[in-house]
Amino acid sequence: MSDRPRIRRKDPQRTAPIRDWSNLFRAAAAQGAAAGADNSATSGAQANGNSPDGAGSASAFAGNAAAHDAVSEEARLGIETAYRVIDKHLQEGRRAAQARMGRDGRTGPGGFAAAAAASPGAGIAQDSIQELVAQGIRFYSSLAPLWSGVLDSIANSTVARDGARADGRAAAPRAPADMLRTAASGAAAPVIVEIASTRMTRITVDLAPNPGAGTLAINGLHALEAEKPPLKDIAFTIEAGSNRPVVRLRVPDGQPAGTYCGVIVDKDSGEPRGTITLRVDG
Amino acid sequence: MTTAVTSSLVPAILNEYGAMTRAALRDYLPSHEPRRHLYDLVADYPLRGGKMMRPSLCIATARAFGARPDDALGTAVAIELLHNALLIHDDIEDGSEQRRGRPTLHAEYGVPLALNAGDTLTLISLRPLIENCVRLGGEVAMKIMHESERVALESAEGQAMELGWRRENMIDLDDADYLEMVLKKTCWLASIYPIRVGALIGTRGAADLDSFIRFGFFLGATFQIQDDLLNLVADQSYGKERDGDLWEGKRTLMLIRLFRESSLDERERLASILRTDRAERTANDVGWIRAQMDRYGCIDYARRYAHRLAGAALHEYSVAFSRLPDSRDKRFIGEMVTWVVERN
Repeated sequence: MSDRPRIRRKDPQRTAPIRDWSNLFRAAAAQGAAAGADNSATSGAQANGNSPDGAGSASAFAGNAAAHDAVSEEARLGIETAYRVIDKHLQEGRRAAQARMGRDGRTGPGGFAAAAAASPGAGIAQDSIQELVAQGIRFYSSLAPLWSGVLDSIANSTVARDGARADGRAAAPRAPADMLRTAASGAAAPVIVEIASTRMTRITVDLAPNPGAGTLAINGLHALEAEKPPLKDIAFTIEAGSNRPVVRLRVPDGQPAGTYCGVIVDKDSGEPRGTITLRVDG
Repeated sequence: MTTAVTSSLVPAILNEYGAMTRAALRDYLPSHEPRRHLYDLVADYPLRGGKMMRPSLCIATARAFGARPDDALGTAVAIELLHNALLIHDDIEDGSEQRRGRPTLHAEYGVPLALNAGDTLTLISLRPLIENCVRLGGEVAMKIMHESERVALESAEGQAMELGWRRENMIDLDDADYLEMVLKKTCWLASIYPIRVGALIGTRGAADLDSFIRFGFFLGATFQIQDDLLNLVADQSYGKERDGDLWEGKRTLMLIRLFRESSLDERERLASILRTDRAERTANDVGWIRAQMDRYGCIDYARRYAHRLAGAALHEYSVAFSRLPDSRDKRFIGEMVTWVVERN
């Protein structure tokens, strides 16, 4: 064992790198500062009627240092100004969104974008797709009579969102994209849901548009409450002939009432493709 | 020694996504009659080309979040169409003479026909957004529509600020005024909106959009200052009229700086030149303003300012995109910052 005295150092004043805008581009700022210092020294000499060549090295150094400080101050002020401008803009956006939400009871056409900026998704999920499309029609038809017919046709052919029944085979409530694709082109096939249950259930299938060629899979539906067993008897298949996705689900008789959710994934890529939510009544 | 770091990824992706957008965009340009006085004019600016920065940012952001390019293509087309529609109107309002190396639309066809073509192009830009309902679903499509409504209003407000300053010959402006105007007039359409809608598409409407406002602001402001600088120093390949901003009396960062640095006499002369209509302004007047800018270091000042904003943009980029895995598209968005200050 060495008999050298153990070296003890003080704890460092900072324990993590300081990363913020003020020192992000130290190298570039130093470069800019150097350029600025050169300019300032030259213009200063011209303003005094002296030749820059006449300046001694000491005074030139002092001049450069002063110019460096001036440029650093200029940099600080410039960035602070920019952040002040953007922060004010964000605050105004939030205030406008809140004011409109308060006035309308929810986000109206004029305030929707601001609301989205302040609180993404706020107030949107609760609205039905029919209401959203109708809002669009009202607002944009005033701008563009050219397109109102197209919008109307989309809105009018939107089908009802809910409709799956627990006691048999029925077209599932559709993700908005699928509803509209079906309505608009008639080409896309809806998801078919088959539920075997002795109790009333309500299911919502939210599937991404064009979910991909890979087979879909779901690893059961889970309740938020850990004590409730997951629903594992669920499978995705593709209906021969029509190529429609089919969800088959069995709810055991003893399954506790509650809401169960699961993520639909693409088996090939593992990417999420949608969600299924099932409510089992008591 | 100074080493310029020039991105090869940015031009490559601008070419790739630009070509995709341009090809898709043609489907939305009507080819039926009346062509001579309407649809030929409508197609004029979009077919002149351009950097395609806006649609590329939209597609790249959507892809960085995991979307397929086709999911963002319609929105990218809408952005480019709206951008061109606003250019027609801006050129009229600014009295500009050149756009993308050729005479502006109103210079070629007169103001009434150009205005009508701009209005039509605005309406046409709505069509891909409506079609988003089919591809992306009604909820995401409606969010994108509301973003489009907002960008239209922000752009109009920014343009009104700038036109108002010129109309009232405002001379006591500061850098914050300029940045606020640029935020509305340029940043929303050039970067904030394309990135936000790209994120909406990529996350199916679940993105937190606030951080993109900050990044888009710093990127867009850097872009605009560089654009203003190029107007004063660029060669013929720039595509716009050299010193056009001085002829038009635009309140750029350099002009605002010049007002601040000038002596009382010089301020008076400057204000008196800018008070005149463009037609009354002489080459001598414009030459004097340009020389004063050099004398007071206004060009260097603006260049330094752009570099600092670029630094802040890179910081905000690291905040806004930190959670995304590395990808070509994510790198492209980050490298755009360097590209906008290095382009010429």
